[in-house]
Amino acid sequence: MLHIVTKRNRELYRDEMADLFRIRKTVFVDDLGWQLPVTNGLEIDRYDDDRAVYGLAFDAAGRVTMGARYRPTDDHAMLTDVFPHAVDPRFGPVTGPEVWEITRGMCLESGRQPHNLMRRAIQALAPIEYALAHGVRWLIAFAEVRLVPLAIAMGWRVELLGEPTPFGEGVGIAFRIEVSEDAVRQIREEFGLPTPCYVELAPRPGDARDVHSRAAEMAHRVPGLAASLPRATAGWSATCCCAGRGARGWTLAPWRGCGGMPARPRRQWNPRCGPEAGGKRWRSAPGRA
Amino acid sequence: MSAPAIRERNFNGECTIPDPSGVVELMPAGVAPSSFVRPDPKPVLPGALLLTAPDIAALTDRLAETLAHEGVGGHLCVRLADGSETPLFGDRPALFAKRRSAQVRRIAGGLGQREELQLLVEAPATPLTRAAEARLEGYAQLYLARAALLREKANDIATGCPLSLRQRVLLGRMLAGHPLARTADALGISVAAARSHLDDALPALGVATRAEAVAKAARCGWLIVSLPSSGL
Repeated sequence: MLHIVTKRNRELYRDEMADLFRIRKTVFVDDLGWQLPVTNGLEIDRYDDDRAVYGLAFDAAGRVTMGARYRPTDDHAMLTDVFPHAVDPRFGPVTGPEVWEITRGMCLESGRQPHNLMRRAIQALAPIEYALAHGVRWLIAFAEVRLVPLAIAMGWRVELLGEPTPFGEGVGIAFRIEVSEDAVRQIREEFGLPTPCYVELAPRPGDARDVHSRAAEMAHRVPGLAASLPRATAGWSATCCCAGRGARGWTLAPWRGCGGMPARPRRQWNPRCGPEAGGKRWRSAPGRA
Repeated sequence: MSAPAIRERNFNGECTIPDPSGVVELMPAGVAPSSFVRPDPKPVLPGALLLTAPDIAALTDRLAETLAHEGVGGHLCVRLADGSETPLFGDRPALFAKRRSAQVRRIAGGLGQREELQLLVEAPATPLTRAAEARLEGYAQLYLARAALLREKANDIATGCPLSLRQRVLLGRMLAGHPLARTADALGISVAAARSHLDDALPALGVATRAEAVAKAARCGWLIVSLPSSGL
């Protein structure tokens, strides 16, 4: 299950968004060495504005494990602002009212169990499903070439927009992804995903529960969605956040490690307390308020 | 009198097509040429050709053509396993014997592949520009991904009907409600390879959609749901 974060509900995700920007800094700046603006340890750029939409997944401790930014392109886009040379001019304009851009994608989850695959497939489906619901026909992206076959394997219908191009320390390529009912249906069927595969929480005055508790409660109302919730783990360890896991990012590049970033969970999964007990599936982790 | 002709402006500019009926100008007099020119067609990029190569031979040809544009003379795909290398396919098998020399460059495969493939290419006579290096690296990644998928697909079993064993299993389990990803995993192939198997099944059955393929295979008794050798 992915959480959709927009301007409307961003206040609910204040801690999670800070976590996202901190992890982005670790992934893209510290590890990949990209020259990106960093403010107070957070990697935030000009595209992180009110129009940006984020698809985030969390582990059982409430930490961001997958994330990507989707944004309309009718004003500007990273692909055409930063990598215009990567697009073959014969394609004509690649941005517009029916085109969104997907950037800063990263995946810290791995594993070959059906549950792992399902969660990663949801990260691929959610932007298409969400964009389709907003009248979008294409998503554009610029990613390291090595990630393109992975994206195709996850069901994205990719159309290359140019030749491989050097950027930073890697080789990237511009492409666009078809957004259509047929594309959504195919990914959903191939990976056995629920409808919808994401939750978009609305601000609810007076509701003191955190976003994870609310999302877990909602997930149990949607057939199949609860199966994509993060799996409970016994407590948490102060080891590297990606220990043993292959992390990847896009607009982007494969993540070769997180540089030893310690895990900092805020909550623990409480397996003995389900929605029937008021949705208190989360409890504070030791040492955290 | 010279041969009559129809003159038509096409995507590549002016072309002349012989026509015995007489000279016909398709562009009306007084119309500015710019208002008559059709937009450029969508370009077919070398990367897209690599990603859609239907078989190993086509993949080899397409990479050879792409590399020739970059001044690279030949290539060979090799497989790494258990500390040894096996030559697989390419247009320059002799590279295998020279693989440890400075005449050969080695490009490692991408992420998420079930077997480790590498591409050996003949080192260019003159240093490549940064942009050309990026194209070489990028096309190699797309080539290796497609090569891995085609190798997965090649390891299939023909049966007594137009469908292969995997196609029958994939369609059968689709009817039984199993996600493609789970069936692919049980068969030991990637989701991309499974998807490609299904895509190939459509023309084999003369249908347009997967649902029609399931229906036709079901009518003919070709569906397989259980395959004990794969644990299904």
